[in-house]
Amino acid sequence: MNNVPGNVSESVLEIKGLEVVYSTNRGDVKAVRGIDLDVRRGEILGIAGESGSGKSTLAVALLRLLKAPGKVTGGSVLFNPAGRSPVDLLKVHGEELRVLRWSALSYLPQGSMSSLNPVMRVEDQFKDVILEHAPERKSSLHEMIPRLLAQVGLEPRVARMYPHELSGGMKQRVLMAIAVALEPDLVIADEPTTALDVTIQRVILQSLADLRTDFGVTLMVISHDMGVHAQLADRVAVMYEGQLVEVGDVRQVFKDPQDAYTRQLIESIPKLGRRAS
Amino acid sequence: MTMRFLNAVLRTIRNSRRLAAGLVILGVMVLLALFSPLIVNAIGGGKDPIEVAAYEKWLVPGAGHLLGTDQFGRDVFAMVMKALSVSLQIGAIAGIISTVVGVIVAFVAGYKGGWIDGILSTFTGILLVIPTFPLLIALSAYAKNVTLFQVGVMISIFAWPFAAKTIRSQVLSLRTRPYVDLARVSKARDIEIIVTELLPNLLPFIGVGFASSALGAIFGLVGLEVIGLGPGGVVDLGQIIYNAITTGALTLGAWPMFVVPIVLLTLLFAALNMVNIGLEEVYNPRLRGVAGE
Amino acid sequence: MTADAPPVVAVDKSQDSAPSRGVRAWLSRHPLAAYAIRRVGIYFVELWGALTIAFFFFRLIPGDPVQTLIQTLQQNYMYNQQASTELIARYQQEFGLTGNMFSQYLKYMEKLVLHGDLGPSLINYPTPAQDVILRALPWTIGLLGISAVLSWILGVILGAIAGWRRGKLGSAIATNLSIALSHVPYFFVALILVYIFAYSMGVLPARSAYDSNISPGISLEFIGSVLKYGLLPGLSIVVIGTLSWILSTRMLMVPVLGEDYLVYAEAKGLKGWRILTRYALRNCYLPQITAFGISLGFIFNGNVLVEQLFNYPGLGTTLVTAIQQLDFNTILGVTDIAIFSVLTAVLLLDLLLPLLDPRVKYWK
Ligand SMILES: Nc1ncnc2c1ncn2[C@@H]1O[C@H](COP(=O)(O)OP(=O)(O)OP(=O)(O)O)[C@@H](O)[C@H]1O
Ligand SMILES: [Mg+2]
Repeated sequence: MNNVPGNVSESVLEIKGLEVVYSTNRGDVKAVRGIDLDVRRGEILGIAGESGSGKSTLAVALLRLLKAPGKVTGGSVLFNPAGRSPVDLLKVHGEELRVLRWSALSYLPQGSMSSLNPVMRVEDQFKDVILEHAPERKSSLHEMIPRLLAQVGLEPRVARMYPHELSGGMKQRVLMAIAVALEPDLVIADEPTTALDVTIQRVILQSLADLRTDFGVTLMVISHDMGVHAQLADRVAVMYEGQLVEVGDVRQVFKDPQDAYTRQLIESIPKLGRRAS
Repeated sequence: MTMRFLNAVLRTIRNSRRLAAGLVILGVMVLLALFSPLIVNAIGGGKDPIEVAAYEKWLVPGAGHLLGTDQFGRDVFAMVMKALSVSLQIGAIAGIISTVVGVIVAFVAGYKGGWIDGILSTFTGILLVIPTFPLLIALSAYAKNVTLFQVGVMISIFAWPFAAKTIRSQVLSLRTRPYVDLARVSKARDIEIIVTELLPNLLPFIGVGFASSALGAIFGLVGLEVIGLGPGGVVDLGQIIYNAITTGALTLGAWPMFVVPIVLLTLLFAALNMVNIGLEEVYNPRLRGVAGE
Repeated sequence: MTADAPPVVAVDKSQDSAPSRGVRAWLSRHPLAAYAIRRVGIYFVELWGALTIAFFFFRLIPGDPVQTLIQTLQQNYMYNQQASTELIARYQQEFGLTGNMFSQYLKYMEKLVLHGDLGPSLINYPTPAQDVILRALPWTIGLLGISAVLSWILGVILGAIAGWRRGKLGSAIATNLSIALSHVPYFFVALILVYIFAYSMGVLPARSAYDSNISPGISLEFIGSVLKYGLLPGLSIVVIGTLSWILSTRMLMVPVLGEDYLVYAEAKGLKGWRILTRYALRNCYLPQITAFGISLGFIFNGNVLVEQLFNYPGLGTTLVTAIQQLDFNTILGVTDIAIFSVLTAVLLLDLLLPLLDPRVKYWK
């Protein structure tokens, strides 16, 4: 469904010269310093980099969720949702931004353990976003929610549960199901597997890969773990201190890292080294 | 040592505009109270301005009498100044007593834990939840001719739970900190741990406890006074309001007699509350900026 | 709070295994019931404790109701000889003052619990104190109940909005006003309102609970009169009450606004009002329900002064009249009723909470 030819541009997102600064009382922290990056339609783009390199900051800036003391100080982010006219994400406001959210641009947050509203049933957290952006689906909700949950390997009864009744991995999967509920053009997933044990990690990664196949969404997956990118991504972009040091096809990057820092990242995962060879 | 302490206090105050504002208002009121004998003298110009029939009755506010005179021909401004000082003294006495009791109860309960904590906290909890005003007014029915200090003691009976509750929860959270455990392991005596480790960390909360019990005490006394059940022999701001009501100052339009004490008390309550919230904001990072602008 | 709860474990025993018997097992299968039983137990302990504190408090302060009664009767020329020892003994019996303090206590509790009997009143001798109190009770419940609930609703909504719009001028004004005024006695507001609306403008009545020319009953006229007379006393409670709820709600709201689920709600592109009500407010009004119960005793204290100022025929005025005549049975009775109502309200709210808040844990 993503391959509507003609009016659809090759890139979903074109980031140019993006800069983000946090002003603290100990001076300004430049968390993102001049990033240029294209996200191609239908791909899974991995963003790698050590902790504190600015990955999450990049994500929330793109999603326009940056909170004070953070501030975008420069650049542009051209977003090309299918069937809509392209917009600069940094310039849209209010209602215009609100209607873009979720139906075109959705989010799988880092630290998702506390991203679900603790006093609402899971199904209601599906319903509110679906009804907000696609009220015409009201009548099909009863089959839609179980289907979405099944997509990420959850039983239908999860819909009736409250977040505190779910395990960490289940919460993560619920969030994934919500993220794709409206078949958005782009999903930005921030550390989708961090803090989960290895078996759950594999399930989550598999579900993410399936999401692309089934829904045709474009995924931007942030992780400090190169292993995740090796398993999941088509291309990977490596961040270091707010800048991109390397962007390329994932196999290419692993086989022949151009940047010393990238090499370091790859080598720091001995298990991965074995797998890559 | 003292310098360090003073520096810490100053830094705290500089960090919170609200705390600073509260302290400034309180300070001004305390100064007024301290100088109230001088002010009263100056108003009297030789004679006692709050003596019965010192002036004509019901004079309207003007140059001679800033706030007019009452039904006995007493200067209202001079009366208010004197009563302010009484109200503040009651607040201070009851505040100190309540805080001391509160600290003791909180330490015993929070530090010892177990069933002692169970009983003490239930007791404190009950006193905080049930309406205690009827008990206070029953007590006051017997306080016809008492000293200011006795009134303070009487009011503290009902004001200490405010302090105890605030401080107990802090003791509980401090008790589990590593340095206290360390002191315990090294077999320091309980009292030593309390004085050297816990108390310094609790100062701001003791401040909160003091401010809230002082507030509760002044509130309680005003309550007694305005229904005419105040202890005899003590003229505080509440008593002036009561006089204003019973002598018909409302119908006569002598508004300064009740508006001025109300404004002063309101300022006092506001200042104490600002100190409370300011202190909590400074020391509880989760709250910081929460009540903020 | 204090009593050790039975160590209830989450339910995961399979149904096929031999059904465990006994109270503990049953409780572990019904955590909500276990919670309710435990909470009701605490309630009775608190109630008993509070009533006992009140009783001994009154017995320990000086004062002899019988002497007071005889003086009152003499003043009213209903009785003009010297009081005989017989008579005094009869009154002492009637007022439950025979025997030592502990047996007095037992007798008082027995009469109170089994018969709802508080003993004769003095302000209206020989009407029993409970009748005097029951006559006043509806007025206080009406005035205080409606004002307290109204302030809570207004305060929580306005406080949530103030937190939501923090940094804006309106929010700053509301917050600072609340900080300045939330501890002011209702009575002060009442006095100012009376001065303005009753004396200066003369548009609203300043005394009593209804127009004495209208006979009480279920008539539109009477109800209108009650509302009109209740406006000023009610408003004085609502003004200050609302301000203090604004402050505490705002304090609960601001940390909630920083929670991940609020950012997530924003990312979902929900409408602002929906985020405020379904995400933010819903997570911070629950603690305020408990706080409401706890505040009732405090509101009662403030209400006494307001009733007295307006000569409102409720418990507050009864209390003050009783104290002026040293009518101990009535004062203690009003205290008991107030304690009972407040603790019961707190209990009911606590029992309601698990139904409203899915997160409340019943076992611990
Ligand atoms: N609210 C903030 N205030 C000040 N500095 C911040 C804030 N949030 C992030 N930073 C700084 O911005 C930089 C980038 O942080 P960011 O959270 O984007 O890192 P990250 O790559 O996502 O790390 P992680 O892998 O740990 O999630 C860090 O140096 C951090 O200290
Ligand atoms: Mg991050």
